[in-house]
Amino acid sequence: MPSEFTLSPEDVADIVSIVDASGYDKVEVATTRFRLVLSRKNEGWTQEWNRPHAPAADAPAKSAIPAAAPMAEDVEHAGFTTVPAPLPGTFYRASQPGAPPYVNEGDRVVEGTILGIIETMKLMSTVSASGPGTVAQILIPNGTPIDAQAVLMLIKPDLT
Amino acid sequence: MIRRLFIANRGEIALRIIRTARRLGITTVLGCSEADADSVPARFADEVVRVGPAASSQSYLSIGRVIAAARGAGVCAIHPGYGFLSEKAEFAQAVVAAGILFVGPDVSSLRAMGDKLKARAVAVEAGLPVVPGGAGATREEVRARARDTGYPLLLKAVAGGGGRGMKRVDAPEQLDAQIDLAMAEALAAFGDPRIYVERYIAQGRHVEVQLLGDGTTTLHLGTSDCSIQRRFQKLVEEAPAPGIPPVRREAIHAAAVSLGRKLSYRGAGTVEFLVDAQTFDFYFLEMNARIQVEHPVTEAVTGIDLIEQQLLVADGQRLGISQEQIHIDGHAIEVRINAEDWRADFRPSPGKITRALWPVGAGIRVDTHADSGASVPPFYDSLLGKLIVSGVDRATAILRLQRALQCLEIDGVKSTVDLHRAIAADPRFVCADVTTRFFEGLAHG
Repeated sequence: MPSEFTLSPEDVADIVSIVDASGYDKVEVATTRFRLVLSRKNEGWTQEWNRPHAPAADAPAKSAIPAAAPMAEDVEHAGFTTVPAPLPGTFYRASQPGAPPYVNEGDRVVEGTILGIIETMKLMSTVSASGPGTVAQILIPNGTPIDAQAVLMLIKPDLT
Repeated sequence: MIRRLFIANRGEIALRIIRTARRLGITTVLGCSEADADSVPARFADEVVRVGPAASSQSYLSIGRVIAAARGAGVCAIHPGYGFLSEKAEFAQAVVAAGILFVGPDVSSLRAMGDKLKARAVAVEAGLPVVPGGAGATREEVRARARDTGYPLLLKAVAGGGGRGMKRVDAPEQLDAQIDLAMAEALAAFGDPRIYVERYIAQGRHVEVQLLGDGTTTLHLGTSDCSIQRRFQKLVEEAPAPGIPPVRREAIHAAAVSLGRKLSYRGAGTVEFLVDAQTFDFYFLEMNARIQVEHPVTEAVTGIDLIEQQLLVADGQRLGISQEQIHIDGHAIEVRINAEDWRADFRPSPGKITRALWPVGAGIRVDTHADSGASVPPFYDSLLGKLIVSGVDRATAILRLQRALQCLEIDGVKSTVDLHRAIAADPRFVCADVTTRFFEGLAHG
């Protein structure tokens, strides 16, 4: 890769200063490695770097998250309340390594009971129960990367 | 001479390091996680090694895996960037033990600055002023501390945190009642009645000094101001720190250099001070013993490539510049573009960037790994990139910032672009009337 042609930020600034004096409003530079679009906008110029081999729209997106986590819409509800992840990130069942889990299967919960936490971009968000019931099944192990809306656990709600 | 450099980091700083390394003819090996295999720095580095899975605990924060990857790649030096392992003495030690150069300060400097109380003690030894204060276990001890500290002051629980049990005392006659209250609360909340007394600085500014050292010589590259923060995270940085009287500025420089000398500091480091916005009294806060996120503002006003100097010093060379050769020219401002919904309490916004338009032109620098199509994984911090503008003076830089922000567009994830438009237009920012409480007064749109 190093020997292949690339543009430094200084090169890009030079190109902009040349075309700025011209009547052009847009310049495209395309190589096998990138496609750069320079456009006039307001009183300045923008740069947009595009990827050369963008996957086709129907190609499955590559994700670092294992595909094992079921999504909310895939889960058979059958009398259970699903607990979806509000944000993508890493799911933890305890407040810190070594601490007991917030809940285990079979535990009773009420509205607001903390079920777990999700770390997203270094920020912790808690996941709480939406109503009274019993933890029926925990689907995601501690420390697992998850997508938003992945079902973390199933709650058997109390009959009302 | 460093010929092969391992980069133990990701994102914009990885790309930033690659750029300087390439200019110096150094081959770069990026150690990245599985989540970053298709990132811009991974496509830009000469070579890429996977250090582990997405979770940083098993990749960027794993000393064993990073060292193993670097050894396997046959590199002669490791640049840790900022964050992750950059200030971990244990990591620096493991790097050296593996026979690899650590691009950063000596292990002893990392140890001395790594712990806040220890850093404060070293700074006091080096003659730096610290925020006056100290702990007391009884009413009499706290009274004595208060006499030494002066008013207004804060009482806080020694065992506490997050502002609980904190009391502000403006005059000596209020002290006793507040001590009793604070001790009772501290005991109830933490089971420990001890109180820490600290001078209260109502109008504080966060000012820092960039240092470069080679173990023998310590140079300063002037001040920068990072007062605009939220939850102790910087949003805007500028160099030089505006509106500081020259005598005070020189004193701040000298204090930072004293600390660098005390440590026989090697490499790039930044000494942070709390500066009283009214009296310009200043107090040592901490030292960042690494390259900082905001280093481009210093580069913009000095013309010095800090990464290059880090590599030189790591290679055992002397600094190629003297204090007399360092001039501060003009003014530079950096804004951090984060993937956050700032209107929803800065909620993180990972996802896929469908379109990224960054400004380009005279006086504009962009350090980013966020191109159109980039994914923003939820596993790491939210920084998408930094917009740095510079001009002959602060007014010119602000005008450039305002125009450049009009050209900046990030689609697909929420970002802080429009927050920065609001800050750049805020009269307090334009007049440099900025303290660490700036954000409290920002009109939330």
